[in-house]
Amino acid sequence: MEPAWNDKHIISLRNIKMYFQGIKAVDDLSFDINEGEIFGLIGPNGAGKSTLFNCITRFYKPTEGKVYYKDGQGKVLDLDDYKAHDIAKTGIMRTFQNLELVLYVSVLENLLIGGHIYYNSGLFHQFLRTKKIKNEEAQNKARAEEILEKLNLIQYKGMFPAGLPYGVLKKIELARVLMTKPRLIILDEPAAGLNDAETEELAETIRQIRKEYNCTIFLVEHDMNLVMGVCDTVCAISFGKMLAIGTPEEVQNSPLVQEAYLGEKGDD
Amino acid sequence: MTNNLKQISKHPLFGYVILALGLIGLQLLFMFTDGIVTLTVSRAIAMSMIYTIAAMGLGILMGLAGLASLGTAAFVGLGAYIAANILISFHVPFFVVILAVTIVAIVIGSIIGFISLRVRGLHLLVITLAFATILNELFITPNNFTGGPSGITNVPFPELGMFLQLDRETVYFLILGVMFLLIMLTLNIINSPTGRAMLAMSSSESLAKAMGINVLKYRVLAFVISTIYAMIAGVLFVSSLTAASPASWNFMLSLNLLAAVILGGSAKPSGVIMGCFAIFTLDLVVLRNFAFFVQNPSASMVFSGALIIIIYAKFPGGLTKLVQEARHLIIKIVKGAKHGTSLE
Repeated sequence: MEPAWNDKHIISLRNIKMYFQGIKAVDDLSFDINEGEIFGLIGPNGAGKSTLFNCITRFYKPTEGKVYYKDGQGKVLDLDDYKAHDIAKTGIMRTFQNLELVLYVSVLENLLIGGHIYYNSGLFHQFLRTKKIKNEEAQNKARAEEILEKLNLIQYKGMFPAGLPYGVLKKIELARVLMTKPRLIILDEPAAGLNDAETEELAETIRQIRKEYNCTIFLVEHDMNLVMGVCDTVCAISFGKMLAIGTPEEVQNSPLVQEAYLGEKGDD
Repeated sequence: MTNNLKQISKHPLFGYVILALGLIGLQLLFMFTDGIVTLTVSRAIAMSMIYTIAAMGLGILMGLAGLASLGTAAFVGLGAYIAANILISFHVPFFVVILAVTIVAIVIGSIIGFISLRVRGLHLLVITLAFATILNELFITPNNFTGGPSGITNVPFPELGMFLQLDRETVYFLILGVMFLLIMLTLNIINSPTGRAMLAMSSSESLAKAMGINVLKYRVLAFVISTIYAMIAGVLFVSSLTAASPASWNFMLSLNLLAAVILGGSAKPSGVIMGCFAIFTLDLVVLRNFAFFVQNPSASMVFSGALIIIIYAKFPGGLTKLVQEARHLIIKIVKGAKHGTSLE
């Protein structure tokens, strides 16, 4: 059943359920994300946030429910038809909670890995290193350098990620995400492990990315400062169910949320 | 002039060209002088180059794709038997043999790639070992294709084109030529999106998938490439020794190749070459000169084993790292010396 599509939305979750042997990790969640907004998903540990992410990016196949997504051509896709490694081509790109950078190649090469889907040369061209692949390589390198420049990372270009500060690594990961020319960026706890100054810088980078690259950003976060500071819309979930959705203030003031999440947060 | 030289020396193939010229020189010395380079040395270098080819494939599998195999030797053997049969039955140029073997390698590599899709680490080693054991059993069982336990002898030397017939001495240059081409291919693979996709996959499969990398495709590809390398090594083995016997591709060879890659410490050809020459040439040239090692052939295994332990314990990065550090040290000393004189 196709939903009545609202053209303001970039992604629509319809009755997503994800059960693991009877455990209801995500239990009937539905919400939409508007194109161009920064959307935050909050919830206590084990609320099902990461599971929901994995359902969208097809790392899991939801037990029930549909995810619809509007691609760059304005076509509405049913993500059931896509495998995890096909998702990047639709313009959806995710990051991981623990940094997933390749540690023993340079920062530039890490970005080139992000550009993987923009290489069209076949194996023949790659193995014989023909003009075609050299041109593609040059294009991707130029794009990588441009992104590094914009995010103030250009000085790390030739360095190896091992040994760089954690905040810088997080930004490099964002730069790599941009290499895929994403339309919807899904950030899994981007502020985890960052100090206050680094978190503030990250928030700035997220705003910059939205503005300069016309992306929609969907972030799962524990850090309330980041969520309240940067998000247009916030959705709170607990035990796989929706508690509240709305502006950061509305969600913060919702009694259900205070009980489930902020209350717990206040204890520590 | 010096600037030009400097630029040439920065070319990524520079070191390999020097190595190739050196190896050509050695063989010329063997062919045209009396005893400066002995037959043993020439043979040992030819064998080391053949093993380097197989090990480069393994290097791509391990160093880039993060997979592993204990079946390399059996594929060297399979390539050797196929080449032996073709060379005995048909008068075809060398590249036809390579083509035939490559096609078989693609099929077999794909099969292993698919079988091993959900298997990691030690389990993968066991599966490749099982595959090699099956092949070895087939080699030893008496049949027309492999000649059973006694193998195949009197295989003619390959011919390059229609009239360029190789012999005992010139086949060395064929081996060197093939090795050099495969070094270039390996470098191209390492620096291609395919090489980076394999690296990403070995670092984290989730990451690779999120980046749009089809993990299955690159897993299979890594196995196919390493099988092709191993089987080409087999073709050269038979071309150089004119015989194929099952004892040549036992489990020990697979282990030695694995050790050579680990010892080299890098998927780059430079690392693999260092590893192979350290393991194989050292054994064949240096150790065999001592009566003790001739009388106790297995003692040389102890020697290479000890070498691996020492390098691994002291220099986890392998020979590649060791050489890098030595170079930094030399540069530092040279610069220090210059600095010192300028101060005075």
